[in-house]
Formats: sequence, C-alpha cells, structure tokens
Amino acid sequence: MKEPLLLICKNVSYRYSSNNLALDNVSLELERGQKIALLGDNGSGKSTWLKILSTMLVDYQGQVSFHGQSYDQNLSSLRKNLGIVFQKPSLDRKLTTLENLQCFATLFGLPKAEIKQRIEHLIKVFELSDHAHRQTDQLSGGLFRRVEIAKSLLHRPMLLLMDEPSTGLDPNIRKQMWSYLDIMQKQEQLSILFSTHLVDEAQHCDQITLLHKGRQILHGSPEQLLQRLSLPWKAYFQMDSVKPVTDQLDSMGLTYVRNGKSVEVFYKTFSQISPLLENHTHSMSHFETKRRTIEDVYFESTGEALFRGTEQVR
Amino acid sequence: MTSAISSLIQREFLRFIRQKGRVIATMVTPLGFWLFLGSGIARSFGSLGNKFATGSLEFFFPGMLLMVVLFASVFSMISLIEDRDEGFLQSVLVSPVSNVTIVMSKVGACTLFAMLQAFPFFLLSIFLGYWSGPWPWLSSFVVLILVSILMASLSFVLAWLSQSVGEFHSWMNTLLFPMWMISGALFPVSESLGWIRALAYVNPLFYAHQALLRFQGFETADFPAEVILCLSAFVFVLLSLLFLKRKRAS
Repeated sequence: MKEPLLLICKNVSYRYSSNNLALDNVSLELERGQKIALLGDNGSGKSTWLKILSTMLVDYQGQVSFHGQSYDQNLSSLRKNLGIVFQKPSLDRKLTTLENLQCFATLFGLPKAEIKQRIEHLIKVFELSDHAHRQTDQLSGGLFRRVEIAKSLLHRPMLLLMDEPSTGLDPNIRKQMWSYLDIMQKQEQLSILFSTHLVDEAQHCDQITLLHKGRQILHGSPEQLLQRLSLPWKAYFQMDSVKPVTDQLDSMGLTYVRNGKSVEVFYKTFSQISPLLENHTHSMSHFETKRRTIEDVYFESTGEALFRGTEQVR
Repeated sequence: MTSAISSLIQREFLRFIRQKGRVIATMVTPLGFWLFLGSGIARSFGSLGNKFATGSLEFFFPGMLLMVVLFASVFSMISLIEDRDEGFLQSVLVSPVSNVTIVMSKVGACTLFAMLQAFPFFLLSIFLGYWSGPWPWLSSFVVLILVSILMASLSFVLAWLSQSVGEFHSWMNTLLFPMWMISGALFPVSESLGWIRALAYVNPLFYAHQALLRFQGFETADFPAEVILCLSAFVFVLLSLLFLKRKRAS
C-alpha cells in the first residue's frame, strides 16, 4: 500500500498586517524521505512559507496537512514530528553543546533513558564529540550549525524544515553539512524542506519550487525544470568592447544577457553561435559554453537573476 | 511537563551562574541600598517625630527585601528578551511544550533567583533580632515568594512587549520602580497625600509590604494583605498565560 503524502500545501496564501501579500496561492506535496528546496530571492516568500509550516504563523489562507492531520488541529502533536532549523541561530550560547542538546531533548519529551543514547548517536553522526563540553559561543559557524541541526533531529522528526541553512557557511562546510544530512536522511527516512537562494544546493533535491515575490513560479524535479529551457546551452564571451557582438546578436535574433564586458548568449545548437565566433574570435579574451542551470530557469521565468545584476535583457 | 519546566529552569540557572558580574551585582546593590538609605534617612524620619523614627534600619528592612525580590525578578526576565534576540525562544515556541510550561519555567526561574538573593538577608535578619519567632520569619519568606511570582509574571508580559532591553528598562523606570516606591518601602503610606494612598491601594506591592511589616511586629492597617497579595499573584500569572496564548499559535 502506498504511504500517504507527508506534507500537503494547497493554495496557501499569507498576508502580513502591513497588507502586503507575502505568499500568493502556493502549493506543494512532499513524500516521506523526499527533499524539496524553496528557491528564490529575498522577499520571495520562502521564509513566510517555512514559518507557516513550522507553526509560527497560523492565520494563513488555504490548506496545510501533515501526515493526514490538518495544521488546524492539535499543534502540539504536530510539533513532535517537525524538526526546525531557523535562519537565526537558536542555541543557548552560555550552555555547552551537550547541555543544549539535553535541554531540547527534554522539551521534546524524550524519555530519560533515550536522551543519552540519542545524543550520543547524533554527536557521533555530526562529529561533535570533541566539542560536546564546549560552550556554544566558542564554536565556529560551521560547528554551531551542526549542533543546531543535531538539536533539531533529537526527537526523530519525520520532517526537517530549514530556513536558509547555508547562510554564512563557506562551500566546503556547506558540503559537509549536507553529507551529515544525507546520512540522517538514509538512516531515518527523513524528509527535508528548506529554503535557499543557492542553485547548487537546490539542484540536488528531488523537487524544487521556484518562488518570486510571493508567487510560485514553477515546481518540479530539477530535470523537469531544466526541460523548460527551449535554449538549453549558453555561451559566455568576454571582450573589451561588446557592442559589435551585441549588434550581431540583435541581427541574428538570439537571446542574450550583457553584463559589463561580457555577454551570455543562449542557444540550442552550436551552429547558431558559430558565426559569432568566426567574426569576433580575435577580440575575445574569454569564451566558454555551458549547459544552462536552474538559475537560468529562474531567470527566464521571472526576468530577474538570483542575486546578480544585469544590464540588458533581450 | 515537570521535567520540561525543570530543564528550562536549570538552563536559566546555568546562564545565571556563568555571568559572574550579574551574581555579584545583585547581592551587593541591595545591601548598600539598605545601609545607606536606612542610615541616612533615619534623621529625617526623626525630625518628623514619626513613629518609625527609631530603628530605621529595621523599618527599611521589609522595603529592602521587596527591592531585592523585585529587582531580581524583573532583571531575570530580561533573559526573555535575550532568548528572543538569540533565537532560543523561537525554538521553544515551536516545540511541543505547553504555554503553562513556558510561563512556569520563566516565572519559576526568576522566583528561584530572587529567593536565592533574598535568603542571605533573611538569615542576617535573624541575627539582628527582627523576628519574634520562626513563624513570622517563614511567613515573610512565603510573602516574598508571592511577590516574586507576581513581579516575574508582570515582567514576562512587559519583556514580551519590549522590542529591546532598553525598552524594558523604560518599563522598569515608569512602572515597576514606582510600584516599589509607593509600596510603603520608602515612607509610611498612611501618612502621605490622598492620591498616593489611592495609588498604593491598587498596588499589590503595598500589600506585600504591609504583610512584611506586620510579620516583623510593626503596627499596620487592618486588612487581609496576604490574601490580596496571593490573589494578585494568581491574577498576574493568569494574565501572562493569556498573553502567551494570544501570542503563540496553539
């Protein structure tokens, strides 16, 4: 028998008191063990959606249900199955790693006998044994985030919600964090829903939801989203004067983005851009071609880049 | 629920003892206040020919105890603002613990700190011969516990409403400190202006002070101060619970 969906959001909207619509009619379905990314820029509604799912905001419109139980019902039992990692650190900085974990294990009602065992397991998985007795205000950003995630998994939640978990982490630490989460996901069939503005973080997920100004632009697997690109390749040119290239691109009717002394051209087959190379190779300081990414899907769908300024879009 | 409350209180205690300056300041301030104010104003009271003229230190003792408890309760509640700023509170709010647990742990921790700070002075008062026996001494201790619960509950709401520690200090200056001033801790309310008496009668700390004076053997007005105080503490705890219920999705 097929297991019921773990999380269902149907036509969810949220309006803050300032009357701006922070979330406009968004929906998604999450299966047990799946990983979904909410990808969007600042103000896209990612955090608002996560606040609703973490039970912090309840006056939303639409339907949300978790494991067959509506979010309107017993919130306390719902919270027992949710692990939440906020964008803002939430550990007590005057307490040690171990003291923090013990405190939260009690709050989530873990039996005394189980607390020790569970903490030992998480300390092992997240490689925190050398830091168990250190006050958390002495930990580095990466370690702090590891403790934070371990804390949110103490009670074996079915769903882990994370708001921008990679904020402030360098790429190596970020990779390490995801490797720990992958272990937990496999061991405990953990489902993960997180917000991010980093494409490389989102593209490893089962599903991605693209958000822009509170609206859900697209939803699907990374492959499904990439298939939406009619021009799946891009060529990158760099030169002192881009005008001759953009003039030719205009006459050829190709789509491009100009950014200072560089131009990105989108194409389907290489033959489309070969005339450019024939005419301008001598003036180019750099040239490369790449498969387009989810970032391009976002760009094509919204007309805006994720954290990147552009001068001209055709 | 009890293990969650004790765990949160334990956490507050660990935070407290790891801030050495906080521990020292809370012990030294009231002692200095008691000695300076009690000794300094003795002459003023004497010149008025007040019945409290003799033994001002003894008369100021209940007021000093009130101040220790008031300040300890109120200052401890600043941790609520810190918890919110540091994000710890957010994690507690999305945990399955009940609103009662959250209020009781905060109020309980503040009461514990307040009583820990008041206890040395309580012991000192035995050697100074301020009590006629163990019963008034113990009764006064219970009164102080009630004061602490009351002030911690009120501070809980004010701390929640405050956007910053600075704003909470403003509440202290405009509401909490005047509550102590017109409790009778600084001057006998019965001999003050009518509007001050009117304000004192709606001030729960006035009844706490009256109860403490009575247990210490001073003559006080004839009303059930302990009962009024007890009811006030209950109402304030209830108010903080209702406040949290409104603020937290449950």
